[in-house]
This record gives sequence, C-alpha cells and structure tokens, in this order.
Amino acid sequence: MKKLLFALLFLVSAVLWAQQPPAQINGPYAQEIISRFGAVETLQSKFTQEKHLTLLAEPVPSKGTFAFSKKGARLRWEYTEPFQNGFLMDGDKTYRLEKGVKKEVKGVMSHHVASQMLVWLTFDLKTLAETYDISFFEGGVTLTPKNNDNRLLDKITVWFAKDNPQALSEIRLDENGGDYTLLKFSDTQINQPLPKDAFL
Amino acid sequence: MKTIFLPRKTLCLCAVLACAAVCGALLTRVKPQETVHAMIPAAVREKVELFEHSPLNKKIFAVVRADTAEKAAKAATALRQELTDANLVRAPFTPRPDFALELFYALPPRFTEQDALASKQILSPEYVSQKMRENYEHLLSMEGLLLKPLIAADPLGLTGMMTYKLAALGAGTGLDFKDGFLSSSDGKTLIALYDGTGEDSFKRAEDFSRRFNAIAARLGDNIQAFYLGGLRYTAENISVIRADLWRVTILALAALAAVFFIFLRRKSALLIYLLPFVILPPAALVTYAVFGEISGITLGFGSVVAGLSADYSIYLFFALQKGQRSAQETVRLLKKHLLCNFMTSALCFAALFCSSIELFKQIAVFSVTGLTCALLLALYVFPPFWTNTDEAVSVPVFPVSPLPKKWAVGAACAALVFGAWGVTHTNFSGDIEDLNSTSAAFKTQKAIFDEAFSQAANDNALVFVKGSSVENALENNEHASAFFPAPLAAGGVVPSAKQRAENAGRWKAFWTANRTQYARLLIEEESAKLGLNPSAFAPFWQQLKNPAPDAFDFTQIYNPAVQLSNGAFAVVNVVPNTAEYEASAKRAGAVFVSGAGLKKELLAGVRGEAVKIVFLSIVFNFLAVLLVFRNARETLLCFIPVVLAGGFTFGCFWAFGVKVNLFVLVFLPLLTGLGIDYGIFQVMKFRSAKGDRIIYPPAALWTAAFSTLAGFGVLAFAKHGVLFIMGLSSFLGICGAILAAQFVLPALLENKKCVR
Repeated sequence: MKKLLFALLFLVSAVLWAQQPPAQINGPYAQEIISRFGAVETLQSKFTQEKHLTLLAEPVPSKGTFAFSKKGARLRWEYTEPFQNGFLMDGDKTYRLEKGVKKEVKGVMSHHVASQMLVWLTFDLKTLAETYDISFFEGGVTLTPKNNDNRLLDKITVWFAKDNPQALSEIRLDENGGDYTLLKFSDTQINQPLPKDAFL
Repeated sequence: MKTIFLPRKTLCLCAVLACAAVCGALLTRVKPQETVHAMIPAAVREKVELFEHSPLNKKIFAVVRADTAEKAAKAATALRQELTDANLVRAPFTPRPDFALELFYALPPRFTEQDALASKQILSPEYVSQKMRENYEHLLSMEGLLLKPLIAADPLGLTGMMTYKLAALGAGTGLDFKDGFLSSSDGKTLIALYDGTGEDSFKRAEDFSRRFNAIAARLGDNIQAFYLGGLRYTAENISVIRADLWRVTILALAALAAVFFIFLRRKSALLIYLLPFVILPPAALVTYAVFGEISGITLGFGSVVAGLSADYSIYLFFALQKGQRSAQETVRLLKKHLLCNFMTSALCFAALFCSSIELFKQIAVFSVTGLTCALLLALYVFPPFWTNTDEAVSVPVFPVSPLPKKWAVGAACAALVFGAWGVTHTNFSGDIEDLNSTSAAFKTQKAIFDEAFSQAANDNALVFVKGSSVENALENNEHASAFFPAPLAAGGVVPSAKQRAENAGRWKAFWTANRTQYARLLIEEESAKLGLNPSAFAPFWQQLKNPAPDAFDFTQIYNPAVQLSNGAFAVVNVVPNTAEYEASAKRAGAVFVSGAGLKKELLAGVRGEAVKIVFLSIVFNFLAVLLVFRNARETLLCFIPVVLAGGFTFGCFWAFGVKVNLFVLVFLPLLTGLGIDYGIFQVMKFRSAKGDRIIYPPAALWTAAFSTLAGFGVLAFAKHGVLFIMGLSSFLGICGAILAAQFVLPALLENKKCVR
C-alpha cells in the first residue's frame, strides 16, 4: 500500500511538475539574467554553425564572427567560411555583406531576421518574452514561439557559457520538420572596445 | 395693356406665403449634395473622375512626423495598431513569411510569352550552376531560415518573374517603402495608406476625424500625426460651407436691414424682404425636381438670387412713391423696364445653362425660377400694398450728378486700361484643390505630405482602360498593353480569366517532359557538386507538372479595377509620365491622366467655358436689348456699366493679388446681367417723357444695388473658396456697375443725345 501511495504521490508530483507554467521573467532567476545580460554594452565573438537540413546531403559547417554594440543597436554577423557573406544591422537599417562590402537591403524579412538575431545573441529576455514562452533548465533556456501562425521555428534552445556569465555558448534553432541549426560561440569578449571598422 | 392685380391682396399674400411654407417644408427633406464633378467642365470631367479612381485616391493617408526616424517608425507602428484596433481602417496587407512561396505558386496563370522566353534562357548549365550555388549560400546563411521552403519549391528562381511583375506596379514612383510605410528620404516622415471601413459620409468623416485626433494626441511629444484623403476633404469642406451659410445669412440680414432703414423706411417695404423666403424654396424645389439633386453651393447662391430678385420690387416701390400715380398706371409705365430687366437676367442665366458645368446648370434653373417668382410678385401682388399714402415717410433724395463728359470719358478709359491689365495679370487657377476649402492646419499638413510625395506624383501618370465589366476592362487592358513601350503592369499581376487560362496553358506547354527532364539533370548535377539533396526539390517538379491552384488574391495588394459612376469599370495602371506613354495611350484608346496635365486641361476647359458663357450672355443680351430699344446706339450704351465694371473687377483682382478660381465664371454672366440692368434703367429714364422720369429716381438704382450687395456681396465674407470668389466678384462688379451707371453713363447718354 505504501508503495502504491508512494507511486501515486510520485505520479501526482510528476504531473504537477509537468504542468508548472514556464518560468516568468519576473522571477529572481530571470531578473538576474536580465541584469547580467543587460550590462552588456559590446560583444564580439567567433562562431561555428552547423546546418542540419533535408536540403543538404549532410550537415554543413560554417565559421564566422560577430560584433554587437548596444549603442545604436548595431550588429555585424559575418561568415568567413565556406562563403564570405553576412549582414550588418545599424539601427533601423539592414545591409547585406558580400565579401566585406555592404549593400543596403529594404526587405522587411531581412530586417526581421537581423532583428531576431540581435535579440537572441544579446539574450534580451524582456523582448524575447514578448514573442516566446520561456522555460529555464540548468545552464540554459528554451524559447517556444507563442504565436503558431507562420512560425518558422519550432523552438530555440540557448545555453549559457560556463566560463562567462554574460555570454552564450550555444544556440540551437529547431525548425518545423526536423531541420535544425546549431551555433557555437567561442572567444567571446564582453564590453571590450570594438574595432573601429566593426560596423563600417 | 392693363395690369390686373390679384384680388383680395391680403388673402393673396397669405396664399403666397403658405405656398412658400409648403415648399420650405418639402425642402427640409432634401439633402444637399457636394461633388467636385458638378463643378468641372464636361471636357475634363471624365478625366477628373478617373483620376479620383486612382489607386491612391480612395485611401486614407496617415502621416507621422517626428524629430528622429526611430521615433517616427515607432509612432507610425503604434498608430497603425490603434487605428486597426479601433476599426477605423482595415488592417493593411502585410506579407507573411511564405509570401515569396505564394508568389511562386501564382506564376503559372501569369506566365507570359516573355516569361517563357526568359525561362528558356535560364535553362542553361551556366545559369543553373550559378543559381544552385546561390541557393546553397543562402541555405547556409541565417536568411536560409526564411528561404529554405522557397529554395526547395523554386531552385531556379522563377519567383523573380513574379516579383518583377509586382515591382512594375509601382515602377518609377521613387518612393522608399519600408515596413509598410512610405518614407521620406530622412525617414522622419512616414506615410501609411489605409482603406476606410465605411461609407464616405459627413457623419463618418466627423467621427473619423475626432477619433483619429484622439489617437494622434496619445502618440507622444514632438510627434505630429494627421491624415489626408477624401474623408478629410469632406470634413473640412462641409463644415466650412455650414459655417459660411450661417455667417453669410446673418451678415446679409444685417445689411438688408441697413438698406431698409436708409432707403425704404416704410412698413409695406418689408414685403421686399419677404422675397427670399417666398421665392427661394420653390426655386430650390424646382431645381431639385429637374436635376434630382441640389448642391449646397446652389443653395448658397440663394442670397444672390434674393438680391437680384428684389430689384423689380424696389423699382416699383420707388416709382409708386415718386410717381404719385395709381398702381396700375405705374406698373404699366414700368412694366417694359421690368420685363426687360428680367429678360436680360434670364438670358444671362441661359448662357450659364449652356455651360457644360453641371453646377452652373443648377444655378441657372434655380435663379430663373426665383426671378420669375419675384417678377410675378412685383407685378401682380405687391403694388397694391405700396399705394397707401397714409404710410408716406420721407424717402432720401440722392442728388447725384453725372460726371462732366471729359471726366466720364477719362474714367471709362482708366477703367478699361486697369481691367485690361488685370485680365492679363490676374492669377487664374484651374486647380481643383482651390475648389476645396480647408483650414490653415490642413494646408500646413498638406505641405508636409507634398514634400514627401510630390516628386512621385510628378514622375508618374495613370492610364485607364475601360470596359463594361471587370473582366471586360481587364481584357481591354491586355489588348491596350501592346501599344505601350512596356506591358501595362496591372495585367501582369491581375490578368483576365481568359488570359489566366492562356498563361496556364503556356506554362504546361513550356514544361514538357523533355524540358523538365533537362532541368532535372542540370539541378541534380549541381546538387551533387554542392552537397545538396536532390530529392528535396520535389515541390518544384510537382509545380512544373501539376501547378497548384491560383489561390493568392493579389487585389489585397493592388486592386486595379475600379467602378465608375456610370456603372462602367476601368483598369488603372501607373506609368511613367512621358509624351511617349501619352501617345501610346491615345493609340490604344486608353485615357492618360497626369496630375500636371489634368491641371492644364482643367484651366483650358475653364477658360473655354468662360469665353463661351460671356460670349453667349453678351450676344443674347445684345439681341434682346436691341429688340426692345430698336436702337443700336442705346443698346451699346446699356453695356457701358458691364464693360467698366468688368474692367474695375479684374483690375482689383490683380491689384489685391486675388487668386481667381473657376467659379469667377458664375460671376461673369451675372455681371453682364446686373450691369445691363443698371444701363437699361438709365437709358429707359432718358428715353422717358420728362414727366415720367420721376419714376426712375436715383434712389431706386442705389437701393437696388445696395440690396444686391447686401444679398450677394456678403459672400465675400465666406471662407469657402467658391463662395468667396463669387461674393468678391459681385461686390466689386456691382460697385463698378453702379458707379458707371450713375456717373459715367448719363454723361455719355447726354453726349449721344439719346434723350427724347
């Protein structure tokens, strides 16, 4: 009987635990993350990207760098291998980078993608909470789009860097249908002066 | 000829008043209509109507201006949200992430011969190699998140053909379009285009204005938000006309009271002031019965008719006061003069009726009906009331001396030179905008709007292709397209059903098994080189073989078909504003409309109407007066006040920098009518036997002039551009005519020895 009660209790606890609402950003842990990442003024890092797509015969790795400046809401995301391209976001303007040369793009979608990247990379939890349901796990966060209409991503998983409380170590973007992209960051420098030509 | 007055004068007057009251009661059920079309010459009316059906014309333009581009973007987005939430506007079209995919699936029914030719060219190993490499590069970038479905469905980039077709809709507008807003070059002014959610009624215009302004006020400091468009014009115009009607009526009543106390001073003379109340309701009803509608401006013209119609009674009143004759005898003596006056006025309005401007026809019918009523009252109802000697009150005497001959000739010459200079230097405007009356705030806001939009408006024109139905108009548009340097863009995006079937057949015929196999070979070869999975392109092969149904509704982005007031339809295309396109439109039987061209045509149309109306009114009047006087000299002399008053008026327009709109046209025949009336008065006086001249006292002419000024000239105090110009013209014209009739004409009459 005790075993049965214990099993029942365990089941109820499991169900209750499973039914807990996603962690809210007004919780102490979320607030600590907001204040930690909110203090980031500049950010630069290297990254590797692995695309696992049905369109690709096998996963393809890419490499690149990115730089961010909170002042002016600037972000430079640039691949160095296998192609040299990327984008640069400067306030409300978005540019495409082709072999280091920037060209303004007017499409809403490009700007949308760039804006999303800015929010993910800087881990702006307040903005993320507007469009994603947020649930924390040890060492990271899972973001699930609130709106099901035309959503591109199934979920986004973010891992914090163990050696740097203000940096991310990985982001996994899960698309509908099983495709996913894995971004890994290294040599992340927080609040260090950025090269003068970082956004030129 | 014996004049028989209606028996039982009081009872008769009561019957007249009762009739007027019934007409007035019926009139309260009539709702005045305001359309710019009614004010436009027929030659350009169609173009004006078509222009109003331009894709942008029915839109509500919500403009946001801030001191920074960021603030402007934020405010414009907030405004869009609030306007949509409040159901003031329809939610604007915003492309979904899969919009490009929808475009690709929409291609087969829009697959033209040019597209087939272009597709042939892209089926080359070089192109496919380059395109597949681009696809691969995109897939590896972050944009790949968005582009992946499109790359799988359209690895060859055929969607580009659809984006080209869409881009051609606004080709050459040169406007920056970002996040659903048209942006000025500095990004500080953003304009959003919305469709309204209801009818364009005055009530809705007022409600929209109130609610929009409340939302705009909440947007924050240093942010200016306003809206433009038909709804705004409705709100601005009608409120101005309403305010004007009150202002003008009060001023007219005050001025008429002054005229009474200065000139008339008898209780029975108050009958003259009954005239507006008695004649205007039937005049309005007759006009409504003839046209099926009546304009607010026509009703506003009531003050003019009231002023004119009083003249017959005034002349009779003074004749009865001065002549010491019986009513019948006085009316007999004056009847010819009054009929002549009526005839000249009626002929002037007949000239106005010959105009192609609908509103002028209304005014003509309204005025002639009113004047007829006034004449009948003056001849058959009022005189018995003015023979009561017990009521005698001293009437002021105006010892008016005409100018000496030399002075009169000098004054006439000066007026002619002044007028000639004025006519050639006055600022005439054919701008429809000048027919609208708007507030100072509106003008400032319009300037902000024009700053961002004017270049686009100048560089582009509209081509309208008409048809009996939407399908017919679309088909005609497709036929017309062949005449233009480049295909008309509307047909590329919204083809007719016939064309869609033809295009879909072309798509199937193009993607033969052999050609599809060849494309497959090229794609698979490149996929192998790049490491792409060839089986992922299954949606593409499916679309080549069995195209998806044409499901996307492009009219939510751009609806090229518009319904015209005559029930026909037209397809609207935006084209470059060049002579080549204009000539092409002419060859294709389409209507080419550019903003600048329309202004020019309108001005030319207005000038043509002016010449026609003035010419006809002068010819009609000359012939009529000649018929009465049977003397060419006297007939010509009757025109002296007209010519000098015209010179004086146009000279003043120039001297005071008055911008003259097309409604000065109404004034020209009126000036002819009024001036001739004063001329006839003086000539009749000089033709009369010495003993009978007493029935033509100068006070009668002054009173007639001042009462017309009181009724008509007060329109110069109106804010509405149309009423203002009519009022100012008449004020100056009447002043010029009365001065010429009193001081110049008598000198010339003596000189010509017209006195009998």
